[in-house]
Amino acid sequence: MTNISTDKHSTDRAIDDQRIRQWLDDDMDSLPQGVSQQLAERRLQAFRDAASPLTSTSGTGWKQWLGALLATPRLATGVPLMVVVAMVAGLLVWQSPVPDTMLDTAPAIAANNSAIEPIANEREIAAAGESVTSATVSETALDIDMVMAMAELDESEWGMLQDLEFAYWLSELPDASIPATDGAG
Amino acid sequence: MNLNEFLASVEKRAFRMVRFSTHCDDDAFDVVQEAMTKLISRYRDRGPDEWKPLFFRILENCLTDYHRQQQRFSKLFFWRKATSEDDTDAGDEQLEAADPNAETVGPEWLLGKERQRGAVLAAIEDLPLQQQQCFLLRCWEGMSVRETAAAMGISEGSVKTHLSRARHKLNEVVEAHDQYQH
Repeated sequence: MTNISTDKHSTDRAIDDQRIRQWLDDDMDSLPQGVSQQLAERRLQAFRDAASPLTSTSGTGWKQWLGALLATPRLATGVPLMVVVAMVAGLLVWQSPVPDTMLDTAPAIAANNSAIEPIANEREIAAAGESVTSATVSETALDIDMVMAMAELDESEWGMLQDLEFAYWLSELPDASIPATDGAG
Repeated sequence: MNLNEFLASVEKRAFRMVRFSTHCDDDAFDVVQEAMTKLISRYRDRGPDEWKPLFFRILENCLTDYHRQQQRFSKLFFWRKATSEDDTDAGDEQLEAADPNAETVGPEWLLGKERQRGAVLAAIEDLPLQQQQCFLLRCWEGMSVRETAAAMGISEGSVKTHLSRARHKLNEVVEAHDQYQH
């Protein structure tokens, strides 16, 4: 009895498989002609891509992902938000004060050069230029890191940071400028 | 058979398999093209008998990569939901593609059959990725359990499990429509 039911079950399954396969074949055959044409074009493009190593797919996963991301219509609503985020980040970088070291370095170098040797040789100028450039780059990178870190702060962390900033500002004040509270001491 | 002829022979089936999973024509074209490019650039020197398992292995990997990208995308743009316009249209298109033997049988029976076909194809679309691809590779593409396991990079036991679950779900759909018709 069990064998009979098992046989019947496997026969039914085979029939269903066959039927589903037939439906899948029919479905594939009913694909529009445009699909076949596009597949042929894609095949040609694949041969072209494989022939040129520069456009090969290996090792460019993130570029493809980015390209696909930007080409997706769903991004249309995300673009304004990204623009706003970029603008805020840019504003923060622009608003941040220029570090004193950058301002101090250049005049110091110029003063040294003029005092010791009226006509500076090319090597010294190049060295001075490099130091200024590297300082600028490192400061800019630091600013960007800071902005990125600040962007990731949540509300409580942001409040804590403001408290710390206030405490630092308070500690920088001369003792005389701190108003004594009434009745203190 | 050269590589071009081989790809021409499998591209439609590959497209349909990927389309079941991506629910989008353009994405399916991209995945198939990527698989083709990888096969051509890396394995063109292999023998023709190796092309088919290699191609479907690459195709499965590309499909997995695609779904990972989609997951990343959905995390990045979490407020957006995937549109399902294609899904809703698919059932209507399938119903419209009527059998040429329509006059020999009753229209109600034919409509029932078309509905059953549409329901089964929709059920295949709704299967989880691994169950879906196992079923398609094994039952449609005609691969053995071992070949399916190699193509998907999973064990033969997993293939059997996925296949069993997929069959169970699809049989439920088929039987439900059979009972409705009778």
